[in-house]
Amino acid sequence: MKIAKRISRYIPFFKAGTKQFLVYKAQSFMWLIISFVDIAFIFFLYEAVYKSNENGLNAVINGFTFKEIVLYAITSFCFSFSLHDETSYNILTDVKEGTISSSLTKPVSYRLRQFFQALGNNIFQFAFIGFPLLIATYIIYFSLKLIPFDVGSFFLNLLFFILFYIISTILINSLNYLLGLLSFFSQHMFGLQLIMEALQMFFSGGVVPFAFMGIFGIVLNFNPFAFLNSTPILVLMDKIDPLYSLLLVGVGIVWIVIFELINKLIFSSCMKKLVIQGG
Amino acid sequence: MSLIEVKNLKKEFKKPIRKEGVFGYIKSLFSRKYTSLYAVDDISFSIDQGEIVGYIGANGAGKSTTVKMMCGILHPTSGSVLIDNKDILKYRKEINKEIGVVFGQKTQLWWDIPLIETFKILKSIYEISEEDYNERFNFLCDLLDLRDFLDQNVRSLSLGQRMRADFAASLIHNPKILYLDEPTIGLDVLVKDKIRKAIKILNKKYKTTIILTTHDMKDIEELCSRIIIIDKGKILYDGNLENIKYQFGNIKTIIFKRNTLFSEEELLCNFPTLDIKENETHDISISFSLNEVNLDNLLLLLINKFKVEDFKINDIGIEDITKELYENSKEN
Repeated sequence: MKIAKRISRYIPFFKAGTKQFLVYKAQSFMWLIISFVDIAFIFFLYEAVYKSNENGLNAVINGFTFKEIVLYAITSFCFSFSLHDETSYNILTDVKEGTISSSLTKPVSYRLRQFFQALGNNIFQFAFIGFPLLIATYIIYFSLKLIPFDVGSFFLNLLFFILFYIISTILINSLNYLLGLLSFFSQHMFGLQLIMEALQMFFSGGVVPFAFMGIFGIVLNFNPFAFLNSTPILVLMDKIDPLYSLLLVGVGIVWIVIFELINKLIFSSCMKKLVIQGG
Repeated sequence: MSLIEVKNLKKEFKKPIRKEGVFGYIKSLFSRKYTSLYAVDDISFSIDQGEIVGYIGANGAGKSTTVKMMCGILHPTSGSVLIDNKDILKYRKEINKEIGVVFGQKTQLWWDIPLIETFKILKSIYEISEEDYNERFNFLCDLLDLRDFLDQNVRSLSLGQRMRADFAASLIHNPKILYLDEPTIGLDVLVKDKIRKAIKILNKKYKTTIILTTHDMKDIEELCSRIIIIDKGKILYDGNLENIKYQFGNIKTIIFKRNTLFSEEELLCNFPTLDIKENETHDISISFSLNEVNLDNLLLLLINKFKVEDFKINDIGIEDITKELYENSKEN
């Protein structure tokens, strides 16, 4: 009861996040168009790779057929709508413009405020763009029999996918919050944001699946970025068995705890260091 | 027991010393040196419930830093701030329910969404009941004329509209304490007047304790019974407005047009401590301390002997007093 009451204080931030998505809907749809161009490039890249193989488009490379790798790319693109998190930018703006002073005079946790605001934005983006596209893709794949369809395993995978979606939403926010906190120390965040994007792209399996990276790829399955792309996508594609998925859920939770502890430590040190810009 | 207790508060800021030129900049990358500056230097005072206190000082005197430490935003280097006998740093979230803050140069409103939504967000954050919210929302809307732009996005509001909205937002939860950090900065006279009236009404109706930092001395003269003057992080004066005027000699100035009968020498013979000045348009201004000169006698002389018919008498303003205090503190 107490927790529900506490969480209810953050619902307005969630709602405000959704409203921000609606205010900047043109920006979201522009991103959708850019992502379509991205996916077209990836499609032609893999087509070239598979065609260069002696079995052509029927080849199986590192456990992926051409149809599967295209599905991987599309799912990754759809899932990226749940990864659009502006927390680091919001914190940077708060610190740079000194508006953090207003945030800190409210009887709410700064961490949870940022989380719920990002959650509102992310859920809307995923629910209105990413998820419908994902469902449409799977309906097309199943109806054209491009991949086999088994009701039982599909719904079990969907359940795990939802679990990983929750983990990824929390983790991406934790990472962005951590990055945002660094703006208390230096406000030259552009380079750090680029590094973060590059790390996320590579270590999440966003460029190529980990299966293409040999033994290194197996280790990468346990890195925190893997939950932002590779793990949820592979589970939906039935490439991870349920026991291994359970293990990965545990690993994901451990990463969340680690990042939240780091964030807590850094935030308390930030508060001691805080200087309000502009008087 | 006072509502706010500030005890030996200090805040030290360290600033890196950057050397000039490209080489100097590169050098400072490897061996960084710092200078330290006490923005607030051992300040203590207490404020009772229902008081309106003017916290004034020049730019960089340490006003905003003190207010931010009193809100729990900045951590003091040493000393403490107790609100209702609770340490602000330990109980920040709990105490924040009881305080409202307006930073004149920063907004607490949500930039991208209609103004009304900010009030709804604040209603949930502060867990205000429907009944209380409606009562206060209507009261503040009427008091500050907000209804015309409640549905507009905050980013499209004018500065005056935004400040009135910010002011209302800081009061929607009926705080015990209201910190106003330069709330009238950049506003036109009409909006300033509206905000001053609102402060008076709120203080009277809800017994809200108000701490006001401002450069506009009219705000202070109209609203504050007590002032704290700060310079270079130290308190120069803490007391009521009338006292400081008395301490500064209860200076009055009489201004009138020179006529042919007026004689400066004769006047000085009777009142040797008068400070007499004349400008290009032949306006005579006579300044004197009420502690030294009897006003009635002086007026009688001016009216009967020099036949002065039209004159005005000005009091020394708080602006002149603070100017003098700063100058004295610079000399020391």
